[in-house]
Amino acid sequence: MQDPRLTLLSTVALSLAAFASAWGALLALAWWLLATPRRLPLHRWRSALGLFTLVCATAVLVALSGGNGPSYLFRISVVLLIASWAYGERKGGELLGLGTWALGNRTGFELGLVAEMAIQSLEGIDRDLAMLRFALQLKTGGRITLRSLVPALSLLVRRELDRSRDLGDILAIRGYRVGGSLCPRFTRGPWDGGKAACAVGIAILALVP
Amino acid sequence: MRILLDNVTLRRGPFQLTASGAFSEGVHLVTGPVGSGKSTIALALAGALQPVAGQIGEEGIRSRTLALPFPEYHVTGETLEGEVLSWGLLPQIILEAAGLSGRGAEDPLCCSQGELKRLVLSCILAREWDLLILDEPYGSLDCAWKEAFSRRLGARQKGITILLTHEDEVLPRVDEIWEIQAGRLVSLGRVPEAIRRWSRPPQYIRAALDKGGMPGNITIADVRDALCRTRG
Repeated sequence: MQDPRLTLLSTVALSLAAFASAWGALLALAWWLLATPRRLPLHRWRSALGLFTLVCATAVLVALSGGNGPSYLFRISVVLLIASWAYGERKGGELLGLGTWALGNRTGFELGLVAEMAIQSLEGIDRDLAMLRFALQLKTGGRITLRSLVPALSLLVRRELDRSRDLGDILAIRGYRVGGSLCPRFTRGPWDGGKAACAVGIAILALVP
Repeated sequence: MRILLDNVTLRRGPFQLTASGAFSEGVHLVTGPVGSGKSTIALALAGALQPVAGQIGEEGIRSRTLALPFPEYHVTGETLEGEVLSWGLLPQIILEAAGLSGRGAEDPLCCSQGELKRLVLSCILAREWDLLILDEPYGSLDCAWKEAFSRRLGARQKGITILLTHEDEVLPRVDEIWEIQAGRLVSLGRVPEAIRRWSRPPQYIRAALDKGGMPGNITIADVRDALCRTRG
């Protein structure tokens, strides 16, 4: 999907549908199978496995407290699948364009800028984590102790704070005060409208009793 | 002991690089401008990046390490002394070698990047490695420290040492030069023959070549000797 506005609309609609009921989740899964390239984040299998384990644990707790654990597991897994698709679809700068398009050159621009900076930070943390993990493996041969993790995690926080300070300095030096002017342009794929309409339809089916 | 690159293709995002050849025992210099793929090769040789095509084979390599461009990534000690100990080394000797004597109780992450680089390089060079990969080891170092580490690198007798850098002021004595040309890692051959084939040599080597000098190696001392010979 090329148009970020329709990607966002589809993501919200399908997440709501999947969270609302198992049927909604099933339809959202069908949408993901038919309307996306069906790419699983396999290169991030450790993170995906960690997240899935967390969802499984919560599902067990839900089941133990009298709720429908398997349904919860299925619904949240589909929500995560949709989120992973949306994250993979994003391109640099489109959140700024999206914010400005939706809420204008002041509030929208600010929100878009914050979102872009947040994504940039996540990518920075991701890169740092990969390097830290590899450096630790080289040094200790894979034997990771809590003692060796403390400086590594401390470095992660420090680097993030440094990046934020540098970014703040750059914005200040460039004279940024509030808002900005931007005329976002969006391109739309031939099936974008149809896919988004289906996603909204699924949300309506799942949410309307 | 060697590493074989058999029609290897490496990919990081949209960036792609191809490589073929063999790294044998000795000191290898891999050069190329910023963004040409030196770090990508370093990660692949160290085993952190798998090729999308081709194979990286190894013979006789039992120990390896990679000095990352940012020394902070290597830190696992809470003090400078603890950091040296985490490499299995004696703090007093290493701290002295890194010019950090008497500062063993300091937090490594409060040091400047140059100080941390000196410490990490001193720790790495104090140990024996079959395969030692150094990705931009001269970043954040002043000329005196670049020269000190160059001398230590050039003096390495055993194992494969691969130095990846765009440094053009201070370089160690090397056995072979490699260059990244238009997305491909190319071996220029052994030194000194490789120097003539080098498309982007450092300024001091280019100046010597322009004046008809042919240095025996790539250090400033070698270039000076070549120029002296030229002047007769």
